[in-house]
Amino acid sequence: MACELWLVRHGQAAFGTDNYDRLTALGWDQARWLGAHLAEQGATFDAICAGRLRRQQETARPIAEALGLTVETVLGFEEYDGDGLMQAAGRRAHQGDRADHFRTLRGLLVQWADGETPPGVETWQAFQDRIARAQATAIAADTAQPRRRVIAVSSGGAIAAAVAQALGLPPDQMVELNLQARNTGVTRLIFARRGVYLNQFNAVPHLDRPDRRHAETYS
Amino acid sequence: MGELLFVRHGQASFGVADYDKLSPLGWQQARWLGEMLAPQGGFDHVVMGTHRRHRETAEALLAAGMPAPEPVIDPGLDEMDYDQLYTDAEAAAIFPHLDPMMAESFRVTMPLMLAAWEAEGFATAHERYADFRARIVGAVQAASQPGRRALIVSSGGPKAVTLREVLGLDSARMSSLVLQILNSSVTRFDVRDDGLHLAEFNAVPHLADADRAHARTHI
Repeated sequence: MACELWLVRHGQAAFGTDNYDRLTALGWDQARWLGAHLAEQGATFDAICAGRLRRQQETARPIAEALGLTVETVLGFEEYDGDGLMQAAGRRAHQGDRADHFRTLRGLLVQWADGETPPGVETWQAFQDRIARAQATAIAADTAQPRRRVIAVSSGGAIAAAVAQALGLPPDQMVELNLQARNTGVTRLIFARRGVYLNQFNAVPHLDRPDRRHAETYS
Repeated sequence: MGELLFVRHGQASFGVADYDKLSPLGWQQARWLGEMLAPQGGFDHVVMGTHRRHRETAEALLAAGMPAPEPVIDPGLDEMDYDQLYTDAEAAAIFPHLDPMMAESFRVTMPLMLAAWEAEGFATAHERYADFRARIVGAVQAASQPGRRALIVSSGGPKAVTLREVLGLDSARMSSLVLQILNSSVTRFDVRDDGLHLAEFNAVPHLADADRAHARTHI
């Protein structure tokens, strides 16, 4: 039986502060609105998972509450080590001008994918492998009771990696999708017997309202 | 930056003498989409293929009253003729023997048919895949300009070809996307100087409510 994996990017995090890894007030709103939207939709989920990062856990909590579930932590859904990549290039991550930050990050990601791994940073391949494993864990693929519909709260790069694996995309395309990811954007993959299918990318139905246009954020 | 919204037509009249007109549900889907899109602003350019289902979808969508010019008709956005391709592919015996009771056998035959069409693996009077692709790429290019917000109303095949071009997909992955694309779904691209960038795929925010679950149709 096929399983739907709903990959949700975390809400807006605290770009430009001492600690990026926490939601802003808007980030909390985005997460609450998504939770309310999913609850109204009436879809039933077997589980909601999140990686270990605070911004992922914080995003998952209001969604879980709205759906009457408890957040399961699944290791492997964490973002790649953007801080490590930026520091190795003499930069501080998630600081300064956003456009400049993401331009720099784009270049560093392509180099990283190309095999240039700074000391102490996981390899591109290790990142890809753990994203694949985390997805299998979330949907309980190898158990006697595979799940039917699961939410996993993760990050832009991790979700782009999952999509790239499903579509057989090269690294530069993964980076491209990474940088298009919206806060609390919903991406859906279908794990079926014949393969993994992309069903939706980066949708924000909970923000598609005139009074929430300000909440369609990338960072 | 510009934006391109690529909308698939609403549900057509499958199983009826004239497939190429919207069903009552198809009209409804397009009206709901228009109501959802209207507050987001107008379009600088609207273009559709020559099919009746394209014209009717555009009409119902634009009835919501957002500012938009008269739709332009571009035959480059027409759908392939599935029936003819299928008949010719079957006559050439390219399909494996399938249990006639198998549900959704098109999930097996469609990828085989599209791959063989592209490889010119069976005789057909249908236009060649290369020409189909070229006319779609041309039409989409003509519609996409930085600084402009454009709407395309077309079908699943042209939408999947566009995604294939933007993401660099192989034939099998393109087929997998064709099979996921919902009636009246929105796929968004950012239009920059270097071309299209996928921003959202297969979103149906206008069908998100529980009482519209019946309207999330593929055919």
